Amino acid sequence: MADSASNLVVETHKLTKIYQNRQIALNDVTLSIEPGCVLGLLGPNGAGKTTLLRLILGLHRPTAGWVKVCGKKMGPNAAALRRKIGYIPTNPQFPPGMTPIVYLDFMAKLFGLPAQVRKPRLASLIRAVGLLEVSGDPIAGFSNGMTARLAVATSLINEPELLIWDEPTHGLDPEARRSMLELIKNLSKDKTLIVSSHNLSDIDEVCNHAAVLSRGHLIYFGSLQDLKGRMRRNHYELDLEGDQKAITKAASVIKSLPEFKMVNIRQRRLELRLNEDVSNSSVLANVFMTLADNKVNLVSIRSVGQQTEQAFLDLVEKEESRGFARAYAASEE
Amino acid sequence: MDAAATHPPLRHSLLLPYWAVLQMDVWQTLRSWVFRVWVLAGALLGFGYLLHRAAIHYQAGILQSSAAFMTEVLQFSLLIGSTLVILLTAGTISSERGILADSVLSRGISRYEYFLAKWHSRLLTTLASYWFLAGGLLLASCFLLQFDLSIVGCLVGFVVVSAVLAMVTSLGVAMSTLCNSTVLAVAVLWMVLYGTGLGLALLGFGQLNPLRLHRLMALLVQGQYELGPQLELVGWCALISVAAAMVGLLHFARRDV
Repeated sequence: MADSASNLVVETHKLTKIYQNRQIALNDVTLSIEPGCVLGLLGPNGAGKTTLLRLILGLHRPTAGWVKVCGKKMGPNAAALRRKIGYIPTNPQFPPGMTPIVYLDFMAKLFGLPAQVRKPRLASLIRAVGLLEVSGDPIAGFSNGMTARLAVATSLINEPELLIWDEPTHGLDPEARRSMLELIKNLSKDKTLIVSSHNLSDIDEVCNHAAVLSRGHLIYFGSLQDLKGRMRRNHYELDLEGDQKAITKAASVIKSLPEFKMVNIRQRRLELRLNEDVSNSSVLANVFMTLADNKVNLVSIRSVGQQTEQAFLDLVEKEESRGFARAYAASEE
Repeated sequence: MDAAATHPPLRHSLLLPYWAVLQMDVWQTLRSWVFRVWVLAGALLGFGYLLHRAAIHYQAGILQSSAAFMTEVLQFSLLIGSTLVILLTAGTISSERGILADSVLSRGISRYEYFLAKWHSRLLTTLASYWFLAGGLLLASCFLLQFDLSIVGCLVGFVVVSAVLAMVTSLGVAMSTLCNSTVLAVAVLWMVLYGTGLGLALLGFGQLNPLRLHRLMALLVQGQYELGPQLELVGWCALISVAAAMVGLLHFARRDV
Protein backbone atom coordinates (compact mmCIF):
# COMPACT_ATOMS: atom_id res chain seq x y z
CA MET A 1 0.00 0.00 0.00
CA ALA A 2 2.80 2.41 0.83
CA ASP A 3 5.65 3.42 -1.41
CA SER A 4 7.67 5.42 1.05
CA ALA A 5 8.01 4.50 4.71
CA SER A 6 8.86 8.08 5.76
CA ASN A 7 5.53 9.32 4.42
CA LEU A 8 3.37 6.94 6.42
CA VAL A 9 0.96 8.23 9.04
CA VAL A 10 0.71 4.89 10.84
CA GLU A 11 2.93 1.88 10.49
CA THR A 12 2.80 -1.31 12.51
CA HIS A 13 5.22 -4.20 12.32
CA LYS A 14 4.43 -7.67 13.68
CA LEU A 15 2.28 -6.01 16.32
CA THR A 16 1.26 -8.49 18.99
CA LYS A 17 -0.60 -8.00 22.24
CA ILE A 18 -1.03 -10.74 24.82
CA TYR A 19 -2.88 -9.79 28.02
CA GLN A 20 -1.27 -11.25 31.15
CA ASN A 21 -0.20 -14.38 29.30
CA ARG A 22 -3.87 -15.36 29.14
CA GLN A 23 -5.43 -13.80 26.07
CA ILE A 24 -3.95 -13.17 22.63
CA ALA A 25 -5.74 -9.99 21.61
CA LEU A 26 -3.65 -9.17 18.57
CA ASN A 27 -1.36 -11.39 16.58
CA ASP A 28 1.38 -10.31 14.19
CA VAL A 29 -0.37 -7.31 12.64
CA THR A 30 1.65 -5.47 10.01
CA LEU A 31 0.06 -2.58 8.16
CA SER A 32 0.88 0.87 6.88
CA ILE A 33 -1.45 3.80 6.42
CA GLU A 34 -0.69 6.61 4.00
CA PRO A 35 -1.82 10.23 4.35
CA GLY A 36 -5.36 10.79 3.11
CA CYS A 37 -6.37 7.18 3.70
CA VAL A 38 -9.76 6.55 5.30
CA LEU A 39 -9.35 3.13 6.82
CA GLY A 40 -12.34 1.13 7.96
CA LEU A 41 -11.43 -1.27 10.72
CA LEU A 42 -13.71 -4.29 10.57
CA GLY A 43 -14.08 -7.39 12.63
CA PRO A 44 -16.48 -9.25 14.89
CA ASN A 45 -16.63 -8.59 18.64
CA GLY A 46 -13.36 -9.50 20.32
CA ALA A 47 -11.43 -9.42 17.04
CA GLY A 48 -8.91 -6.95 18.45
CA LYS A 49 -10.07 -3.69 16.87
CA THR A 50 -10.02 -1.61 20.04
CA THR A 51 -6.74 -3.21 21.13
CA LEU A 52 -5.18 -2.17 17.82
CA LEU A 53 -6.46 1.40 18.23
CA ARG A 54 -5.18 1.57 21.83
CA LEU A 55 -1.78 0.35 20.70
CA ILE A 56 -1.69 3.02 17.99
CA LEU A 57 -2.55 5.62 20.64
CA GLY A 58 0.11 4.35 23.05
CA LEU A 59 -2.47 3.51 25.73
CA HIS A 60 -1.27 -0.09 25.62
CA ARG A 61 2.27 -1.35 25.20
CA PRO A 62 2.83 -4.03 22.57
CA THR A 63 3.96 -7.44 23.78
CA ALA A 64 5.95 -7.70 20.55
CA GLY A 65 6.39 -5.60 17.44
CA TRP A 66 6.01 -1.85 17.20
CA VAL A 67 3.77 1.02 16.13
CA LYS A 68 5.05 4.16 14.45
CA VAL A 69 2.97 7.32 14.04
CA CYS A 70 4.33 9.87 11.56
CA GLY A 71 7.58 7.92 11.44
CA LYS A 72 8.19 7.88 15.21
CA LYS A 73 7.69 5.05 17.65
CA MET A 74 4.52 5.36 19.73
CA GLY A 75 4.56 4.60 23.45
CA PRO A 76 2.87 5.62 26.71
CA ASN A 77 5.04 8.72 27.02
CA ALA A 78 4.97 9.84 23.39
CA ALA A 79 2.87 12.93 24.18
CA ALA A 80 4.21 14.84 21.17
CA LEU A 81 2.92 12.13 18.82
CA ARG A 82 -0.50 12.08 20.47
CA ARG A 83 -0.79 15.82 19.75
CA LYS A 84 -1.18 14.77 16.12
CA ILE A 85 -4.07 12.41 16.89
CA GLY A 86 -7.73 13.05 17.57
CA TYR A 87 -9.46 10.16 19.29
CA ILE A 88 -13.06 9.25 19.95
CA PRO A 89 -13.49 6.15 22.11
CA THR A 90 -16.51 3.85 21.96
CA ASN A 91 -19.17 5.33 24.27
CA PRO A 92 -17.21 8.45 25.18
CA GLN A 93 -17.67 9.45 28.82
CA PHE A 94 -17.37 12.93 30.23
CA PRO A 95 -17.07 14.30 33.76
CA PRO A 96 -20.74 14.95 34.58
CA GLY A 97 -20.22 18.22 36.45
CA MET A 98 -18.50 19.97 33.54
CA THR A 99 -19.92 22.08 30.77
CA PRO A 100 -18.79 21.68 27.14
CA ILE A 101 -16.74 24.89 27.39
CA VAL A 102 -14.90 23.74 30.52
CA TYR A 103 -14.36 20.26 29.13
CA LEU A 104 -13.03 21.41 25.76
CA ASP A 105 -10.79 23.95 27.49
CA PHE A 106 -9.41 21.15 29.67
CA MET A 107 -8.82 18.93 26.65
CA ALA A 108 -7.11 21.75 24.77
CA LYS A 109 -4.85 22.34 27.76
CA LEU A 110 -3.93 18.65 27.69
CA PHE A 111 -2.60 19.28 24.19
CA GLY A 112 -0.60 22.24 25.50
CA LEU A 113 -2.53 24.79 23.45
CA PRO A 114 -2.00 28.35 24.71
CA ALA A 115 -5.07 30.41 25.64
CA GLN A 116 -4.94 32.63 22.53
CA VAL A 117 -5.23 29.51 20.38
CA ARG A 118 -7.53 27.27 22.40
CA LYS A 119 -10.25 29.79 23.31
CA PRO A 120 -11.18 30.79 19.74
CA ARG A 121 -10.81 27.20 18.58
CA LEU A 122 -13.14 25.74 21.19
CA ALA A 123 -15.69 28.46 20.49
CA SER A 124 -15.60 27.66 16.77
CA LEU A 125 -15.93 23.95 17.42
CA ILE A 126 -18.84 24.35 19.81
CA ARG A 127 -20.58 26.41 17.15
CA ALA A 128 -19.66 23.94 14.40
CA VAL A 129 -21.07 20.90 16.22
CA GLY A 130 -24.26 22.74 17.15
CA LEU A 131 -23.80 22.88 20.92
CA LEU A 132 -23.85 26.65 21.21
CA GLU A 133 -27.17 26.80 23.06
CA VAL A 134 -26.08 24.21 25.63
CA SER A 135 -22.44 25.25 25.92
CA GLY A 136 -22.95 26.34 29.52
CA ASP A 137 -25.06 23.37 30.60
CA PRO A 138 -23.70 20.36 32.51
CA ILE A 139 -22.79 17.47 30.22
CA ALA A 140 -24.67 15.08 32.53
CA GLY A 141 -27.99 16.05 30.92
CA PHE A 142 -26.85 15.53 27.33
CA SER A 143 -28.43 13.03 24.92
CA ASN A 144 -26.38 10.43 23.00
CA GLY A 145 -26.32 12.66 19.94
CA MET A 146 -25.09 15.65 21.92
CA THR A 147 -22.33 13.68 23.62
CA ALA A 148 -21.30 12.29 20.23
CA ARG A 149 -21.03 15.84 18.89
CA LEU A 150 -19.01 16.89 21.91
CA ALA A 151 -16.73 13.90 21.36
CA VAL A 152 -16.24 15.02 17.75
CA ALA A 153 -15.36 18.54 18.89
CA THR A 154 -12.91 17.09 21.43
CA SER A 155 -11.19 14.99 18.80
CA LEU A 156 -10.74 18.04 16.57
CA ILE A 157 -9.59 20.55 19.20
CA ASN A 158 -5.90 19.94 18.44
CA GLU A 159 -6.40 20.06 14.65
CA PRO A 160 -4.96 16.55 14.30
CA GLU A 161 -3.42 14.96 11.23
CA LEU A 162 -4.82 11.58 12.17
CA LEU A 163 -8.30 10.87 13.49
CA ILE A 164 -9.05 7.61 15.27
CA TRP A 165 -12.76 7.13 15.81
CA ASP A 166 -13.87 3.95 17.53
CA GLU A 167 -17.49 3.19 16.60
CA PRO A 168 -18.46 6.83 15.97
CA THR A 169 -22.03 6.01 14.95
CA HIS A 170 -22.69 3.68 17.89
CA GLY A 171 -25.98 4.50 19.62
CA LEU A 172 -26.90 7.38 17.31
CA ASP A 173 -30.33 7.94 15.78
CA PRO A 174 -30.53 7.89 11.94
CA GLU A 175 -30.27 11.68 11.65
CA ALA A 176 -27.24 11.93 13.91
CA ARG A 177 -25.66 8.96 12.18
CA ARG A 178 -26.16 10.59 8.78
CA SER A 179 -24.53 13.85 9.89
CA MET A 180 -21.64 11.90 11.46
CA LEU A 181 -21.02 10.12 8.14
CA GLU A 182 -21.17 13.40 6.26
CA LEU A 183 -18.66 14.85 8.71
CA ILE A 184 -16.29 11.93 8.14
CA LYS A 185 -16.59 12.46 4.39
CA ASN A 186 -15.72 16.15 4.79
CA LEU A 187 -12.83 15.49 7.14
CA SER A 188 -11.39 12.83 4.87
CA LYS A 189 -10.56 15.55 2.34
CA ASP A 190 -7.57 16.72 4.37
CA LYS A 191 -7.08 14.21 7.18
CA THR A 192 -6.20 10.58 7.63
CA LEU A 193 -8.90 8.60 9.41
CA ILE A 194 -9.17 5.23 11.07
CA VAL A 195 -12.81 4.37 11.67
CA SER A 196 -13.76 1.25 13.55
CA SER A 197 -17.35 0.14 13.14
CA HIS A 198 -19.66 -2.80 13.34
CA ASN A 199 -21.89 -1.15 10.80
CA LEU A 200 -20.52 -2.28 7.47
CA SER A 201 -22.68 0.05 5.45
CA ASP A 202 -21.03 2.98 7.28
CA ILE A 203 -17.59 1.68 6.33
CA ASP A 204 -18.77 1.11 2.79
CA GLU A 205 -19.97 4.69 2.55
CA VAL A 206 -17.04 6.63 3.97
CA CYS A 207 -13.88 4.53 3.71
CA ASN A 208 -11.50 3.93 0.84
CA HIS A 209 -9.44 1.25 2.59
CA ALA A 210 -10.31 -1.60 4.91
CA ALA A 211 -8.56 -3.74 7.46
CA VAL A 212 -10.33 -6.87 8.62
CA LEU A 213 -9.42 -8.49 11.92
CA SER A 214 -10.53 -11.91 13.02
CA ARG A 215 -9.52 -13.27 16.44
CA GLY A 216 -6.61 -10.85 16.62
CA HIS A 217 -5.31 -11.73 13.17
CA LEU A 218 -5.25 -9.28 10.26
CA ILE A 219 -6.94 -11.21 7.49
CA TYR A 220 -7.30 -8.39 5.00
CA PHE A 221 -5.66 -5.03 4.49
CA GLY A 222 -6.08 -3.10 1.28
CA SER A 223 -8.51 -1.00 -0.69
CA LEU A 224 -12.22 -1.36 -0.10
CA GLN A 225 -12.68 -1.95 -3.85
CA ASP A 226 -10.37 -4.96 -3.71
CA LEU A 227 -12.27 -6.29 -0.72
CA LYS A 228 -15.53 -6.01 -2.61
CA GLY A 229 -13.82 -7.57 -5.64
CA ARG A 230 -13.34 -10.74 -3.61
CA MET A 231 -17.00 -11.28 -3.13
CA ARG A 232 -18.98 -13.62 -5.33
CA ARG A 233 -20.95 -11.41 -7.74
CA ASN A 234 -23.55 -13.91 -8.75
CA HIS A 235 -26.84 -12.77 -7.30
CA TYR A 236 -28.87 -9.96 -8.89
CA GLU A 237 -32.33 -8.48 -8.74
CA LEU A 238 -33.87 -6.68 -11.71
CA ASP A 239 -36.95 -4.46 -11.50
CA LEU A 240 -38.78 -4.54 -14.79
CA GLU A 241 -41.48 -2.56 -16.60
CA GLY A 242 -43.77 -3.78 -19.34
CA ASP A 243 -46.49 -6.29 -20.09
CA GLN A 244 -46.64 -9.08 -17.49
CA LYS A 245 -46.93 -11.73 -20.22
CA ALA A 246 -43.82 -10.37 -21.93
CA ILE A 247 -41.94 -10.39 -18.61
CA THR A 248 -42.96 -14.01 -17.95
CA LYS A 249 -41.91 -14.99 -21.46
CA ALA A 250 -38.53 -13.27 -21.12
CA ALA A 251 -38.03 -14.99 -17.75
CA SER A 252 -38.70 -18.41 -19.24
CA VAL A 253 -36.15 -17.74 -22.00
CA ILE A 254 -33.59 -16.69 -19.41
CA LYS A 255 -34.39 -19.78 -17.35
CA SER A 256 -33.44 -21.99 -20.27
CA LEU A 257 -29.93 -20.51 -20.40
CA PRO A 258 -27.34 -22.84 -18.82
CA GLU A 259 -25.39 -20.08 -17.01
CA PHE A 260 -28.05 -19.64 -14.33
CA LYS A 261 -28.33 -21.57 -11.11
CA MET A 262 -31.67 -19.99 -10.29
CA VAL A 263 -34.17 -17.72 -12.04
CA ASN A 264 -37.17 -16.52 -10.11
CA ILE A 265 -39.92 -14.12 -11.20
CA ARG A 266 -42.15 -12.38 -8.68
CA GLN A 267 -44.55 -9.91 -10.32
CA ARG A 268 -42.16 -7.46 -12.00
CA ARG A 269 -39.03 -8.40 -10.11
CA LEU A 270 -36.61 -10.87 -11.64
CA GLU A 271 -34.15 -12.62 -9.35
CA LEU A 272 -31.08 -14.21 -10.94
CA ARG A 273 -28.39 -16.38 -9.42
CA LEU A 274 -25.45 -17.14 -11.70
CA ASN A 275 -23.23 -20.20 -11.71
CA GLU A 276 -19.86 -19.68 -10.00
CA ASP A 277 -17.64 -20.01 -13.05
CA VAL A 278 -19.39 -17.75 -15.56
CA SER A 279 -18.51 -14.20 -16.58
CA ASN A 280 -21.27 -12.04 -15.13
CA SER A 281 -20.95 -9.24 -17.74
CA SER A 282 -21.56 -11.51 -20.74
CA VAL A 283 -24.39 -13.34 -19.00
CA LEU A 284 -26.05 -10.07 -18.00
CA ALA A 285 -25.63 -8.82 -21.59
CA ASN A 286 -27.62 -11.85 -22.72
CA VAL A 287 -30.30 -11.07 -20.15
CA PHE A 288 -30.59 -7.46 -21.36
CA MET A 289 -30.82 -8.65 -24.97
CA THR A 290 -33.61 -11.07 -24.04
CA LEU A 291 -35.49 -8.32 -22.19
CA ALA A 292 -35.12 -5.99 -25.17
CA ASP A 293 -36.31 -8.69 -27.59
CA ASN A 294 -39.47 -9.06 -25.48
CA LYS A 295 -39.98 -5.29 -25.20
CA VAL A 296 -39.44 -5.29 -21.45
CA ASN A 297 -37.86 -2.17 -19.91
CA LEU A 298 -35.28 -2.37 -17.16
CA VAL A 299 -36.07 -0.03 -14.25
CA SER A 300 -33.18 -0.99 -11.96
CA ILE A 301 -30.59 -3.67 -11.32
CA ARG A 302 -28.78 -4.36 -8.09
CA SER A 303 -26.39 -6.86 -6.65
CA VAL A 304 -28.13 -8.68 -3.81
CA GLY A 305 -26.55 -8.58 -0.36
CA GLN A 306 -24.61 -5.68 1.06
CA GLN A 307 -21.33 -5.89 -0.82
CA THR A 308 -18.86 -5.07 1.92
CA GLU A 309 -20.74 -7.18 4.39
CA GLN A 310 -20.71 -10.11 2.01
CA ALA A 311 -17.01 -9.73 1.33
CA PHE A 312 -16.30 -9.37 5.04
CA LEU A 313 -18.29 -12.47 5.94
CA ASP A 314 -16.58 -14.43 3.16
CA LEU A 315 -13.19 -13.41 4.49
CA VAL A 316 -13.95 -14.32 8.09
CA GLU A 317 -15.46 -17.63 7.01
CA LYS A 318 -12.44 -18.44 4.86
CA GLU A 319 -10.04 -17.46 7.65
CA GLU A 320 -11.79 -19.68 10.17
CA SER A 321 -11.73 -22.64 7.81
CA ARG A 322 -7.99 -22.28 7.18
CA GLY A 323 -6.89 -23.18 10.71
CA PHE A 324 -3.56 -24.98 10.70
CA ALA A 325 -2.90 -24.18 7.06
CA ARG A 326 -2.45 -20.53 8.00
CA ALA A 327 0.02 -21.26 10.75
CA TYR A 328 1.94 -23.63 8.50
CA ALA A 329 2.06 -21.08 5.68
CA ALA A 330 3.27 -18.40 8.11
CA SER A 331 6.10 -20.58 9.38
CA GLU A 332 7.21 -21.36 5.83
CA GLU A 333 7.45 -17.64 4.89
CA MET B 1 2.74 33.83 0.03
CA ASP B 2 2.91 30.20 1.01
CA ALA B 3 0.93 28.53 3.77
CA ALA B 4 3.91 28.16 6.07
CA ALA B 5 4.40 31.91 6.05
CA THR B 6 0.79 32.66 6.98
CA HIS B 7 0.56 29.98 9.70
CA PRO B 8 3.64 29.94 11.89
CA PRO B 9 4.18 26.62 13.69
CA LEU B 10 2.15 26.37 16.88
CA ARG B 11 4.19 26.47 20.08
CA HIS B 12 2.82 24.02 22.62
CA SER B 13 3.13 24.92 26.27
CA LEU B 14 4.87 21.93 27.83
CA LEU B 15 3.71 22.64 31.38
CA LEU B 16 0.08 23.21 30.45
CA PRO B 17 -1.01 19.51 30.45
CA TYR B 18 0.50 19.11 33.93
CA TRP B 19 -1.29 22.22 35.20
CA ALA B 20 -4.56 21.16 33.59
CA VAL B 21 -4.57 17.77 35.32
CA LEU B 22 -3.44 19.33 38.61
CA GLN B 23 -6.25 21.91 38.53
CA MET B 24 -8.82 19.36 37.47
CA ASP B 25 -7.81 16.88 40.13
CA VAL B 26 -7.91 19.52 42.87
CA TRP B 27 -11.37 20.55 41.66
CA GLN B 28 -12.58 16.94 41.54
CA THR B 29 -11.09 16.14 44.95
CA LEU B 30 -12.79 19.15 46.51
CA ARG B 31 -16.08 17.90 45.05
CA SER B 32 -15.62 14.30 46.20
CA TRP B 33 -17.70 13.06 49.13
CA VAL B 34 -14.70 11.36 50.79
CA PHE B 35 -12.89 14.68 50.99
CA ARG B 36 -15.96 16.59 52.17
CA VAL B 37 -16.67 13.98 54.84
CA TRP B 38 -13.02 14.11 55.92
CA VAL B 39 -13.01 17.91 56.28
CA LEU B 40 -16.48 18.10 57.80
CA ALA B 41 -15.84 15.28 60.29
CA GLY B 42 -12.46 16.79 61.19
CA ALA B 43 -13.98 20.23 61.74
CA LEU B 44 -16.95 18.92 63.72
CA LEU B 45 -14.83 16.66 65.93
CA GLY B 46 -12.06 19.22 66.44
CA PHE B 47 -14.19 22.26 67.13
CA GLY B 48 -16.77 20.20 69.04
CA TYR B 49 -14.08 18.90 71.36
CA LEU B 50 -12.63 22.39 71.72
CA LEU B 51 -16.04 23.79 72.69
CA HIS B 52 -16.47 20.96 75.18
CA ARG B 53 -13.14 21.84 76.79
CA ALA B 54 -13.95 25.54 76.70
CA ALA B 55 -17.26 24.83 78.46
CA ILE B 56 -15.43 22.97 81.25
CA HIS B 57 -12.91 25.81 81.42
CA TYR B 58 -15.49 28.58 81.72
CA GLN B 59 -18.51 26.88 83.27
CA ALA B 60 -16.92 24.44 85.72
CA GLY B 61 -13.88 26.61 86.31
CA ILE B 62 -11.48 23.72 85.77
CA LEU B 63 -8.48 25.05 83.87
CA GLN B 64 -8.10 23.52 80.42
CA SER B 65 -4.63 23.56 78.91
CA SER B 66 -4.31 24.54 75.26
CA ALA B 67 -1.08 22.50 75.14
CA ALA B 68 -2.93 19.33 76.21
CA PHE B 69 -5.66 20.07 73.68
CA MET B 70 -3.21 20.61 70.81
CA THR B 71 -1.28 17.47 71.80
CA GLU B 72 -4.47 15.46 71.38
CA VAL B 73 -5.21 17.20 68.08
CA LEU B 74 -1.78 16.27 66.71
CA GLN B 75 -2.01 12.70 68.00
CA PHE B 76 -5.44 12.19 66.45
CA SER B 77 -4.25 13.81 63.22
CA LEU B 78 -1.59 11.15 62.94
CA LEU B 79 -3.87 8.20 63.65
CA ILE B 80 -7.20 9.17 62.13
CA GLY B 81 -5.73 11.50 59.50
CA SER B 82 -3.56 8.73 58.05
CA THR B 83 -6.53 6.39 57.82
CA LEU B 84 -8.63 8.96 55.99
CA VAL B 85 -5.77 10.02 53.74
CA ILE B 86 -5.50 6.42 52.57
CA LEU B 87 -9.19 6.49 51.62
CA LEU B 88 -8.68 9.77 49.80
CA THR B 89 -5.61 8.75 47.81
CA ALA B 90 -5.86 5.01 47.16
CA GLY B 91 -8.24 5.58 44.25
CA THR B 92 -6.28 8.42 42.65
CA ILE B 93 -5.47 6.43 39.52
CA SER B 94 -7.06 3.01 39.97
CA SER B 95 -10.59 4.46 40.19
CA GLU B 96 -10.18 6.28 36.89
CA ARG B 97 -8.96 3.38 34.79
CA GLY B 98 -10.95 3.15 31.56
CA ILE B 99 -12.43 6.64 31.61
CA LEU B 100 -8.99 7.99 32.35
CA ALA B 101 -7.35 6.13 29.52
CA ASP B 102 -9.88 7.20 26.97
CA SER B 103 -10.41 10.82 27.84
CA VAL B 104 -7.09 12.05 29.20
CA LEU B 105 -4.16 9.79 28.42
CA SER B 106 -5.10 9.61 24.72
CA ARG B 107 -4.31 13.34 24.49
CA GLY B 108 -0.97 15.16 24.43
CA ILE B 109 0.12 14.25 27.95
CA SER B 110 2.79 11.80 29.05
CA ARG B 111 2.33 9.33 31.86
CA TYR B 112 5.01 11.15 33.86
CA GLU B 113 3.17 14.47 33.65
CA TYR B 114 -0.10 12.81 34.55
CA PHE B 115 1.27 10.96 37.57
CA LEU B 116 3.16 14.00 38.88
CA ALA B 117 0.09 16.20 38.51
CA LYS B 118 -2.09 13.70 40.38
CA TRP B 119 0.50 13.20 43.11
CA HIS B 120 1.03 16.91 43.64
CA SER B 121 -2.69 17.59 43.59
CA ARG B 122 -3.36 15.04 46.33
CA LEU B 123 -0.44 16.36 48.40
CA LEU B 124 -1.79 19.87 48.00
CA THR B 125 -5.36 19.06 48.98
CA THR B 126 -4.37 16.81 51.89
CA LEU B 127 -1.84 19.18 53.40
CA ALA B 128 -3.79 22.37 52.71
CA SER B 129 -6.92 20.99 54.35
CA TYR B 130 -4.89 19.67 57.29
CA TRP B 131 -3.16 23.02 57.87
CA PHE B 132 -6.49 24.83 57.50
CA LEU B 133 -8.16 22.67 60.17
CA ALA B 134 -5.19 22.38 62.53
CA GLY B 135 -4.37 26.09 62.18
CA GLY B 136 -7.95 26.99 62.99
CA LEU B 137 -7.93 24.79 66.07
CA LEU B 138 -4.61 26.23 67.25
CA LEU B 139 -5.87 29.77 66.86
CA ALA B 140 -9.16 29.02 68.59
CA SER B 141 -7.50 27.11 71.44
CA CYS B 142 -5.19 30.06 72.15
CA PHE B 143 -8.22 32.27 72.77
CA LEU B 144 -10.62 29.79 74.37
CA LEU B 145 -8.32 27.75 76.64
CA GLN B 146 -5.50 28.54 79.03
CA PHE B 147 -2.57 29.59 76.89
CA ASP B 148 0.37 27.39 77.87
CA LEU B 149 1.73 26.12 74.55
CA SER B 150 4.64 27.00 72.32
CA ILE B 151 3.43 28.37 68.99
CA VAL B 152 6.70 27.48 67.27
CA GLY B 153 6.57 24.02 68.83
CA CYS B 154 3.04 23.57 67.52
CA LEU B 155 4.14 24.62 64.05
CA VAL B 156 7.00 22.11 64.21
CA GLY B 157 4.38 19.53 65.24
CA PHE B 158 2.27 20.50 62.22
CA VAL B 159 5.31 20.06 59.99
CA VAL B 160 6.02 16.61 61.45
CA VAL B 161 2.39 15.51 61.04
CA SER B 162 2.34 16.99 57.52
CA ALA B 163 5.46 14.99 56.65
CA VAL B 164 3.78 11.78 57.84
CA LEU B 165 0.56 12.61 55.97
CA ALA B 166 2.58 13.45 52.84
CA MET B 167 4.30 10.07 53.14
CA VAL B 168 0.93 8.29 53.46
CA THR B 169 -0.43 10.32 50.53
CA SER B 170 2.52 9.31 48.35
CA LEU B 171 2.14 5.68 49.33
CA GLY B 172 -1.58 5.92 48.53
CA VAL B 173 -1.02 7.42 45.07
CA ALA B 174 1.73 4.90 44.31
CA MET B 175 -0.48 2.01 45.46
CA SER B 176 -3.29 3.26 43.23
CA THR B 177 -1.07 2.63 40.19
CA LEU B 178 -0.11 -0.84 41.39
CA CYS B 179 -3.60 -2.09 42.22
CA ASN B 180 -6.47 -2.50 39.81
CA SER B 181 -9.14 -1.54 42.32
CA THR B 182 -9.48 1.13 44.99
CA VAL B 183 -10.73 -1.36 47.60
CA LEU B 184 -7.67 -3.54 47.12
CA ALA B 185 -5.35 -0.51 47.32
CA VAL B 186 -7.01 0.65 50.57
CA ALA B 187 -6.81 -2.84 52.09
CA VAL B 188 -3.16 -3.31 51.13
CA LEU B 189 -2.18 0.15 52.42
CA TRP B 190 -3.96 -0.28 55.73
CA MET B 191 -2.30 -3.65 56.25
CA VAL B 192 1.14 -2.31 55.29
CA LEU B 193 0.91 0.87 57.36
CA TYR B 194 -0.63 -0.57 60.48
CA GLY B 195 1.46 -3.73 60.21
CA THR B 196 4.65 -1.70 59.92
CA GLY B 197 3.52 0.65 62.69
CA LEU B 198 2.74 -2.26 65.01
CA GLY B 199 6.04 -3.90 64.20
CA LEU B 200 8.00 -0.72 64.90
CA ALA B 201 6.08 -0.17 68.14
CA LEU B 202 6.72 -3.73 69.34
CA LEU B 203 10.38 -3.59 68.43
CA GLY B 204 10.62 -0.13 69.95
CA PHE B 205 12.90 1.51 67.46
CA GLY B 206 12.78 3.78 64.45
CA GLN B 207 11.99 7.40 63.80
CA LEU B 208 8.52 6.44 62.61
CA ASN B 209 7.63 4.33 65.64
CA PRO B 210 3.98 5.35 66.32
CA LEU B 211 4.44 5.27 70.11
CA ARG B 212 7.47 7.54 69.81
CA LEU B 213 5.54 9.91 67.55
CA HIS B 214 2.67 9.88 70.03
CA ARG B 215 4.94 10.95 72.90
CA LEU B 216 6.80 13.40 70.69
CA MET B 217 3.66 15.46 70.05
CA ALA B 218 3.31 16.38 73.75
CA LEU B 219 6.92 17.52 73.87
CA LEU B 220 6.68 19.51 70.66
CA VAL B 221 3.60 21.42 71.79
CA GLN B 222 5.33 22.39 75.04
CA GLY B 223 8.41 23.50 73.12
CA GLN B 224 10.63 20.76 74.60
CA TYR B 225 12.36 19.52 71.48
CA GLU B 226 15.56 19.64 69.46
CA LEU B 227 15.22 20.60 65.84
CA GLY B 228 17.78 18.10 64.48
CA PRO B 229 15.83 14.87 65.16
CA GLN B 230 12.61 16.47 63.88
CA LEU B 231 14.33 17.43 60.63
CA GLU B 232 15.68 13.90 60.40
CA LEU B 233 12.15 12.55 60.83
CA VAL B 234 10.81 14.90 58.15
CA GLY B 235 13.71 13.84 55.91
CA TRP B 236 12.85 10.16 56.35
CA CYS B 237 9.23 10.86 55.47
CA ALA B 238 10.30 12.87 52.40
CA LEU B 239 12.62 10.08 51.33
CA ILE B 240 9.92 7.42 51.65
CA SER B 241 7.48 9.73 49.81
CA VAL B 242 9.85 10.23 46.89
CA ALA B 243 10.75 6.53 46.78
CA ALA B 244 7.07 5.52 46.77
CA ALA B 245 6.30 8.09 44.08
CA MET B 246 9.20 6.86 41.95
CA VAL B 247 7.94 3.27 42.15
CA GLY B 248 4.41 4.43 41.23
CA LEU B 249 5.69 6.65 38.44
CA LEU B 250 7.88 4.02 36.82
CA HIS B 251 5.19 1.38 37.06
CA PHE B 252 2.49 3.67 35.70
CA ALA B 253 4.72 4.81 32.82
CA ARG B 254 4.98 1.24 31.58
CA ARG B 255 1.58 -0.26 32.25
CA ASP B 256 -1.51 -0.57 30.06
CA VAL B 257 -4.41 1.65 30.97
